[in-house]
Amino acid sequence: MSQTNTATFTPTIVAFLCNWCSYAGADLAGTGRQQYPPSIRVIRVPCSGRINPIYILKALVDGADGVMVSGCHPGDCHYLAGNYYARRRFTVLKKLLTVAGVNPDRVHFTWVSASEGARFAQVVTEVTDKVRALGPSEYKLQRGGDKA
Amino acid sequence: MSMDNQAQKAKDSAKKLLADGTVKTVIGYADEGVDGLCVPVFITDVKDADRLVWTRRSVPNLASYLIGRKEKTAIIAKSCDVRAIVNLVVENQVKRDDVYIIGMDCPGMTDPTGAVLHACKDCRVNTPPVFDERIENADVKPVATPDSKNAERGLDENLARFTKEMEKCILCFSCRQACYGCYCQTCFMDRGVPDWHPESPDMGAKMLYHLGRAMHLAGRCVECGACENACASGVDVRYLIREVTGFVNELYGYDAGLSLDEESAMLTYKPDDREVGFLGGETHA
Amino acid sequence: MPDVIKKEIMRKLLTKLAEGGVLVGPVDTGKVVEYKKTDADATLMDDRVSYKSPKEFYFPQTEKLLTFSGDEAVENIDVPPTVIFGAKSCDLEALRVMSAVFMEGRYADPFFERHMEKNIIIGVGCKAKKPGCFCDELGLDMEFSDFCDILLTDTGDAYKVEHLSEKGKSALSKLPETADVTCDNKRTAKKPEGDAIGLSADLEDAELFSAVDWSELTATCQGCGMCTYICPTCHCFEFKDVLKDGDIERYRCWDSCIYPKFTLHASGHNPRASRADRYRQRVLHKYLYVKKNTGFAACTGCGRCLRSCPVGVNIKNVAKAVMEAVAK
Repeated sequence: MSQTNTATFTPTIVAFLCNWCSYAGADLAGTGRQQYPPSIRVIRVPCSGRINPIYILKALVDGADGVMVSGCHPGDCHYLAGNYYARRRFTVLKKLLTVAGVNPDRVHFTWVSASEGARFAQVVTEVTDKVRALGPSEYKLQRGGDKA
Repeated sequence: MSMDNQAQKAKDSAKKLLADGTVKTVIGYADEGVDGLCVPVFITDVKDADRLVWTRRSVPNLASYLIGRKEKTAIIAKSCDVRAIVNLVVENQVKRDDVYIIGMDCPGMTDPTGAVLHACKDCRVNTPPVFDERIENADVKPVATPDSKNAERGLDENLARFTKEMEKCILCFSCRQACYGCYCQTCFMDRGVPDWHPESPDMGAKMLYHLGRAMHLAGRCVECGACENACASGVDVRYLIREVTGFVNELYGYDAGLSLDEESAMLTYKPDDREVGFLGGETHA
Repeated sequence: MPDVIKKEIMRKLLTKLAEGGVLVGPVDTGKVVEYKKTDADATLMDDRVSYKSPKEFYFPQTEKLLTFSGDEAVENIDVPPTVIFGAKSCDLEALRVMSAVFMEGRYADPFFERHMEKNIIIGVGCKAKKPGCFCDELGLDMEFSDFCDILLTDTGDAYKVEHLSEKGKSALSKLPETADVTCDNKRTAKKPEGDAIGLSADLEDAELFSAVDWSELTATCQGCGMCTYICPTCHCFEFKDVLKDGDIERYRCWDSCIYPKFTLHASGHNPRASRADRYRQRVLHKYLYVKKNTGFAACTGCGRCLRSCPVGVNIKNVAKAVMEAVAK
């Protein structure tokens, strides 16, 4: 990792965005010509409650340097309570990742509404900065190095 | 000696239940394994009931044998097995009326050398929380303070520990099969489409499996230790889940399998749940 | 020159033999004893048995066979020379079965052959039966098997040495202290007394499928398949093609008859749908099918599956129940 210049490194970040708020927020960031780093790969999901924690793990294992998850603000879920369930899940997942030695700055959860284009750009910038500072994922480097 | 009394009482009870037709089968332990291990046994006839035993090597968790049974079954269950049964009832896998729980006060189980099992050292509930019949043991004293908090460690230490444990894992999935809570018809690791399972048994595959399973067991683990007892490679399989269980307890005040009426922590929510580790701090706390 | 060498000299010999290759031996990892890549100093030289067999060093859990690059298929011939120390006679007899499966008959497996060519196998006879062991009931000698290059017999702080192949003889000559070990090689395996477990090779499936109530015999099995991972003779495998950097790599990976996916058809139909069906396959494969093909039963009584099974499923008792039912 020491060879990687963190200033020029562009991380690959998988972003799970809920259809109703955060994806629309990302759209608004685009139409509003907000600038943010080209590091995210967006996966649109119906609701943050739809995101199986395994998706996040799989993204990390298969080489993502970071993962970002965003849904409607609590109370605003299109399906009334999806994000409340998601909140418990993500809180526990983040703790679990830390216990397993994954840097918590690789995985981020947040809420972005459909009207928060500027906030979306700001969140992506913040997440990208944090992941860039960590360099490429340790898990990506470990893959295949064990027994295979 | 008290365990012998318990065994006798359990035997009598099994005979009575089978004789009067309350149940068709009694699931219990028989001393028929290697190294004194008591293995699961299904008793359907009164005259076989004398095979039943109760010793400090009654290690396996029998709760998972209840899933999918058609007729009423009695089960000789340690306190942790009872918690597993309760959680199966809460999750609608087993009907409460279909089980007759013979709950045993449990003094803790041992390995072949007589050392108390790792999971039993951590035991927080050693008397059955729910039962149809409780077989007491005067030697079993209530456990001191239920302590589920885990020590905080640095990230490097966490990674070193994770790597050390996972290097031993051969991905045979014994821990999953032994776990009462892993009753998915097809585990995500066994799915063909989509294929979650990475191609080789490397750290990535192990991380996906163990963390994925730990997430599935968040708020559902009853700390019976079946996973680590099943592991032939000596992996401390339970440590990730132990951390998660402690965390769920700390945040949501929930412990699995103690009450038939409480909703499982991850299947419910409160509007003012804490957001630990979310971007921008606890914006909605 | 006597045929006894001290254990320290043995360690020196192992270090010498492992030069440019890999040494595999039993190691105490804290909770269990395991065959691992190790150095001569960490190798256990007592009578303990590892929880899994050393088969992964000649039949790896995952092995790259080929790389397809454009129109070319390149075989992976990168097999390190390996010294396997401390295989017990059950492991050696198991290796005999594996060799018959992979190297005899119409097709020989080049990958397995390559491992066998490069391996030096040093067996150690067992001093005592461990809980769960039943090699004697399969007619095997726990102290001796000739399916290795060098066989050692533990005499306390030294080993009695027998070299059983040219490879073994030349291995001993690598070290001056062991170069002139002589031995007469006249010993043969003793046939222990006792009831041999075995099914007659002319039995037919139809008879065996209905001979016993398989679901009752295997009711407690949890289907974890660990027995197949730690078994010295289980050798079922599958292939997996993996895309890596534009090339396709073909891997051979262990598979297990205990898993439901082992026989699952693309249609969704599974010919061995229940756990009982799958366990039946394991038992009959061990005691009958391999015997039909190679002449050896594929169980050597190492007892590992008995010791490690979380719910104590006992393949010996199942086999005996089947034998009794057939005899009736």
